Amino acid sequence: MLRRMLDVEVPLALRLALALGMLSLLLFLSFVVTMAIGAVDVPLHVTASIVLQQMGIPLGAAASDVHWSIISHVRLPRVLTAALVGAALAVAGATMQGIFRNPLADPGIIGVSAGGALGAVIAIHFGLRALHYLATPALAFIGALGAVMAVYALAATRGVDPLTTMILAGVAVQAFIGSITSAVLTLTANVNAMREIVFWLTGSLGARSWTHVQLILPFIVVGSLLLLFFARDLNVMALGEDAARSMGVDVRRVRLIMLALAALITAVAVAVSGIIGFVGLVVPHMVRLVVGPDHRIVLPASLLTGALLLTWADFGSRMLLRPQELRVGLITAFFGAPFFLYLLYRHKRQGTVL
Amino acid sequence: MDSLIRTRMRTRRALLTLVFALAALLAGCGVQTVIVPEAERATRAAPAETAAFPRTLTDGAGNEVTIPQKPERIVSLTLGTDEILLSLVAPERVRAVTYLASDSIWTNVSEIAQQVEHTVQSDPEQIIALEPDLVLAATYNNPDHVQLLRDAGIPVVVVLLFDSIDRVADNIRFVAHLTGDEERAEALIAAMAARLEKVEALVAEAETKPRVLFYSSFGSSAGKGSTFSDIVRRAGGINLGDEALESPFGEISLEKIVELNPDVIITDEFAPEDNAKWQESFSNHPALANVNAKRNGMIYTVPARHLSTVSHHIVEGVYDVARLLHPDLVE
Repeated sequence: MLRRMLDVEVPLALRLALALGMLSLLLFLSFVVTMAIGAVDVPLHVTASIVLQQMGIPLGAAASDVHWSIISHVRLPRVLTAALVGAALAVAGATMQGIFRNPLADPGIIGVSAGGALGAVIAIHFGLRALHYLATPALAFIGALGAVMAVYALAATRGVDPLTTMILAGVAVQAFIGSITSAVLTLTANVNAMREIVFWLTGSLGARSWTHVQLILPFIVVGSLLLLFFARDLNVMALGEDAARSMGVDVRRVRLIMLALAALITAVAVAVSGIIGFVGLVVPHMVRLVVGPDHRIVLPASLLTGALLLTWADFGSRMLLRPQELRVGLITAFFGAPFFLYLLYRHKRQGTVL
Repeated sequence: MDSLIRTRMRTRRALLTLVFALAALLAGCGVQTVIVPEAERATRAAPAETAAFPRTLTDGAGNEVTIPQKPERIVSLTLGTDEILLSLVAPERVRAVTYLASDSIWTNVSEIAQQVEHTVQSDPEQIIALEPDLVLAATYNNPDHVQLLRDAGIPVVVVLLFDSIDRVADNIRFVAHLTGDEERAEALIAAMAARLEKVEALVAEAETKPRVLFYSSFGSSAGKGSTFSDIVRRAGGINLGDEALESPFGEISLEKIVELNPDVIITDEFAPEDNAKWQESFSNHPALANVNAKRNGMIYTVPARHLSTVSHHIVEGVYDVARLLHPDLVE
């Protein structure tokens, strides 16, 4: 049913409206449901009305102070961070796969995650985190962008197209940075710091505040929207570089801009969440299985699906072993990988190809 | 066609410039707020005179905190503040202490702690639900959690828990200033000072100062700047870790222990059964055969709660060690 509605013969605008409309609705409902449940249970209608009131719509029930505080200061910023990070990783992943024309590409392929990890590990090891709670995201961001720049500088020798070299440089830089990260980790005598570092390396959205949301929102919203703007170019580039050039696309330039945007939003996401694997790699594939290969619909649908997936993954991380919190990076891989295999298997039986 | 493409490129360029400008601006702001000057962090409100509430002070992380009225619903997030708090205020005024506070292995206030209604780990939601009017945290609590509680309008004070005996009085005074219990604090401090003076006078008569080494089952020892070092000095001994370690805490090898040849080895007891087993295997290690402490049967355990406390109970640690080092002088 769903597949028929999203079939290629249906006009693009309609398919877009349908897919994005459904995903947005699902996302909003997921927000309300996942926010209502936690250490303190808040009734669904109270949660919904607090969310609406936060959006400036004075509707629904009055909330007690405790419920108001918990929803608007703890869970809402956390859910928004999860959604933004998920969206950024997924859309960056779809972009990378499109640019490199490689189904195994993910946002980490050009060193963003490894660089971010090193920055965060340094912030924690040297106790900068105790000086200011934003020290870790700040250093992670610097590390992430620094690593990407190193990869690009290594790959971009004059006159040679850096695409293939970039993947190799990415692997090398990741390995190099990874060894420094491990060295710092080994040298950390403080058990608390060690725990923090390991936690950061497995990703977490615990205790994200409005400050975190404010820090990442402009980057991710503007960066993702700009990427969507290039979706048509990605389609054309899928036909091959020469074909794209003959159709008036400045391939190298477009590629560079898209890489920079994808790296930027990934760096921002990594800075506040730590390393969350799987989302950027697999969400685009999931989306393509349902909506087909057209980037004009794959990119926005990946964005919303990424948000949706990470919202629920974070919910799982809070709830599964309550009151202990699991790391969200573990959840995405643990539940996401089998689900992905299931999708692949089903589609293989139906005779469709990825 | 050509002009269309060009217009498209131009629009893109404008948008990109906007994004990067925004990015640079935001990144700039982010970096600027990261650094808190050392001097500012060091200054804490000197709680000298008794002022009425509301009280405004600078906490151990350099944040200005205002406590609107005398706190009656206090939540403590660290073992150290649990102990000080419960020694100062009635348990009815404490909403929650840490989940370890009722464990006598770790604290000296386990009995009072059991009268406190709730225990917390550090889940911000759970803390907000308790509606506290004061939250005590330490520098090693997750700063993100602290920030979230502040965002929710709860006064959170980060206490610098000093680790020398001289600074214990500061810890107590600081917490008392937050809760408005200065008189009780001064009484505690005076009692502590008197007991310390007494034990120091007793061990001053000793002819020798035994050479002591701390060794935990994690294979680490305590050096200069640790409470243990301070305890040993006041108990009339010499802490070998002061010279052997470069930091307050660090790993020490068995070879090093053999080389130092301590007269007394002290281990901390935190899990009595495991500890007994561990200690047996440790003290029977062939490498220690010629170490004085082993030859004279001077390998002891002292309760962890007496050695690692940051409250006035540290005096118990001094007495424990003094009794081991100078049994004839200290009863």
